[in-house]
Amino acid sequence: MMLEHGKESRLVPDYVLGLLPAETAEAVESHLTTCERCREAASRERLLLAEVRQTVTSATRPVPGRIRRLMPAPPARHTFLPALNSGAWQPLAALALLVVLFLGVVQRDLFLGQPASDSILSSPSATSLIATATPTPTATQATEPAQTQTYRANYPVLSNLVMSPDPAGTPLAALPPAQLNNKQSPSSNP
Amino acid sequence: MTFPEQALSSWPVGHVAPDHDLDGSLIARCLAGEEVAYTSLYERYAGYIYRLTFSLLQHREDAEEVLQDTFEYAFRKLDHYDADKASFKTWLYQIAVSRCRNKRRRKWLPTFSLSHWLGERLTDIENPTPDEALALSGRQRRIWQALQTLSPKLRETAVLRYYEELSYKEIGQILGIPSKTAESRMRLAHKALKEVLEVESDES
Repeated sequence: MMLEHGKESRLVPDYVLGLLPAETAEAVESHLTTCERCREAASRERLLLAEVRQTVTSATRPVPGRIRRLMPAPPARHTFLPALNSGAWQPLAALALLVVLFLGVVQRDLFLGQPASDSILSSPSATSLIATATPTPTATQATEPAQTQTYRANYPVLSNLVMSPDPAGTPLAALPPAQLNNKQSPSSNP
Repeated sequence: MTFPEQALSSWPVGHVAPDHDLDGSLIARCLAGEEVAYTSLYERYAGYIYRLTFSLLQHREDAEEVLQDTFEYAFRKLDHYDADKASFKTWLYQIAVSRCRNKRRRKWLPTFSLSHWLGERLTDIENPTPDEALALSGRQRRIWQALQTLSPKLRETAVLRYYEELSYKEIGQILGIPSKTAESRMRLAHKALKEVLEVESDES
């Protein structure tokens, strides 16, 4: 591959920096053997590279002993839970999260009195746990409207917390949403 | 001369091929909990990382801080290092360059706006200690200051090519850019450096 002199002289910096394709680099190298002017240009480029390297060598020389003192401490090793030293802690954390969620659901079922048919705890032992947490209906509650009695049956613990024993004074919070519209404040009525 | 002193005093002018077997052995010992292996790994590469960060940031305290950050992160994430993707030295350089970029971003306002617009160059070289002043000739000071005029992107490429003599593929891997982009940045950096030095030599 033969190149014109002007083009080759422009390629000298790229040649020195290793930016040329192999074939073009060979052509420039071949040209340098015959052209003194380009050889001098290449020498100046190489000198600049060497000067830059030497400059950085001198300018970045560290204070003796300083580098060694800057070493950070190796990471702590967990002896109580060796699994934390490896990548195994992530599946363990996921398992722990599942256990916490499961226990949270159980607690909700126990204390919010979810209907037994909707609860994930359908086993007889779980049902007996719900039964013990459910208070028995009183005589006053037996005279309540059917809808209220159904509410008490489905949410025994919650209903005893929020509902008054007097059926006539049933708080709004205890009513199903469908009835709330009829029980809004008097100012909303025409 | 002990190994770390040797590593620090003789900056590798040519590219030194990393010893993958030794690195792999040290890394395995580190992961097994051997603290001496961490020290060996640090002493093997601290000099390279320090010179790289100092070249990029041109501030000694910042370079030392980034050196510590780099190895603290590398030690903590040693189990994530994948020898199939890159050599350990390349991986360390990736971390160091990233930390340098973060450092520059945090110091953007005070170092870019005022000092740059006033034409002042606030680096250690401007206020060298007596020992440091003797270490740099007039020509070397001009070259060091010329490097400051390069944008961070060009300076990163120039440092990795001029000093480490890494291939453009390796430079691209470290900087997270295609090798062709690394080549064009190097071309621009070299041209800019020459122009600055020519202007300064004309003025002097």
